[in-house]
Amino acid sequence: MLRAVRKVLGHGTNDVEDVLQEAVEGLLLALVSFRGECTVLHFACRVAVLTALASRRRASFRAQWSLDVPDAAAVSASPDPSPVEGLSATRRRETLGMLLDELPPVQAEVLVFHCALGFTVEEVASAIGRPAETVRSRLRLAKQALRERIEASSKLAEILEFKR
Amino acid sequence: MITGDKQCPDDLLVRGRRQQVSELERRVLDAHLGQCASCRAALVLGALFDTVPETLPGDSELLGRVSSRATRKRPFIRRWARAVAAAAAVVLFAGGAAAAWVTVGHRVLESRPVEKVAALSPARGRLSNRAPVSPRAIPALAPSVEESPTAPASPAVAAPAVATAVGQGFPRGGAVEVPRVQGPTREHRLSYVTEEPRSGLGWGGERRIEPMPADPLPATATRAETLEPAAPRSPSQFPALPQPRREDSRYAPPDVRSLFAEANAVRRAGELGRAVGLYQRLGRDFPGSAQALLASVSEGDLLLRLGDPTGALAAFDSYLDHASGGSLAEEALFGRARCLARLGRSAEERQTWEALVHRFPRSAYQPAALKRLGELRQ
Repeated sequence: MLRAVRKVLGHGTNDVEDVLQEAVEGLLLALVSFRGECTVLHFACRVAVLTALASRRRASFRAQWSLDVPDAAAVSASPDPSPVEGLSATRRRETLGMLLDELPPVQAEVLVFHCALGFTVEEVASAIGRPAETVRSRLRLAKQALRERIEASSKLAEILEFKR
Repeated sequence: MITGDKQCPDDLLVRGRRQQVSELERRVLDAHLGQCASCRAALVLGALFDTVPETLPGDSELLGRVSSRATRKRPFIRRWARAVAAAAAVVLFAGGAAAAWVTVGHRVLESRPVEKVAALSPARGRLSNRAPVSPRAIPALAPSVEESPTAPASPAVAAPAVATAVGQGFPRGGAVEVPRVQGPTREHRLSYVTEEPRSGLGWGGERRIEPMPADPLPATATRAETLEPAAPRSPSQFPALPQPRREDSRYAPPDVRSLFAEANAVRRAGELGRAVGLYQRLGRDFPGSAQALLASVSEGDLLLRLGDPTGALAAFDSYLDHASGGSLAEEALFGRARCLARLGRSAEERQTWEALVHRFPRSAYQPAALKRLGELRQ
């Protein structure tokens, strides 16, 4: 769950512990409704991903109305060797977060499972309780939206080093 | 160019990132990525995700904090859930039991003749014309007669049935109170009591009057010996319960016991005025009972401590008049002598001290009695 939360939020944010706490408590409360259609690990991962995505959206919404400076702790905690690489990595993570925030929640969820956690389509289907074809469709739409968004912005393509 | 459709090898993409593909699959994947911009975008996204380290220093502490907070909250929820579940279970059990009693009682009374009701299975409290009846089981049948709309309308039918099952007695006035289901009725308990109420030598803090035993049924007496079979009777044939005989202390209604125990508890708690009231109520409501006699000594002692020697003297005299050879006569004489000393009636006081010394030569009050007698002679 920590891995899933950290993948979605990024490793430099201070919200990881709070979001993980929220996810763990959500998991404990949701266990009563667990129907055994997937493994507990996948179930816990889904709770963590959904909690982290919701937290991202809340933070993104708040950021529109606040003048907070970027998290200094996140920058200073960056493991990148040089300031230039650190800045570049920070910009890529911000772009990644922005792209996830722009996707519909169901597509973002599938994309995180597939791209961040490395779940296969069948594993994603069992985790979210939907047919594999539905997952495949959501994944296709998410990738298409992602590509269109990147192709529409040369700056994004440059940041992400995307080859058209 | 493929722009992303059903032909995208999504799982192959995942395995490619895991480095779990063969050489042939690698070639296929590379060929697809060269044509599919969507999968390239996804691959870029995956690479971005991969830059996030999976573990960091301090993760164990973080997980420890999270798990400790989570487990600190859960017991409360579990306790609350357990409490709710327990309460629900109690309610359901009690409701089910009550419903079962009412249903069983109703069915028994409705379907069986009077004679058969009295000959129910021994497993149900040994209901039989010849066998005694469990008073705990039978009173529960009575409410079913009153409450069930389909119960026999004629009391002449239902009442003997219940009365036969009960063994004796019937709730007078036609009103059946639910609390009767809780335990033996007064009349049943009357039949069970075969022992003398025990009393200690208690007085003055060292020796106290002990409360009555909780279960009046002696170990050697069976219910078969104490209950007599009762013939079916109509409600009008159920007379008022016999009152306990004044001289026979074996008959101790439960109300006397509970009242006496309450008074003793109140006295031990230090509420002297309230204890006096309870002791006086015992003598008023249950005159002649063993508890009332014992209560008069306690009442006298308390009144003396409360500064009412006249009332105390009356209480001690009451005991000595009714049970001069009783187990508390020694204490009653001691108290009476002190009351007379307070009242300044020296002659009577001296006589009382002398009676105490004479009747109880090994009494613990001997030193005090002899000292006071010496003072009175001077």
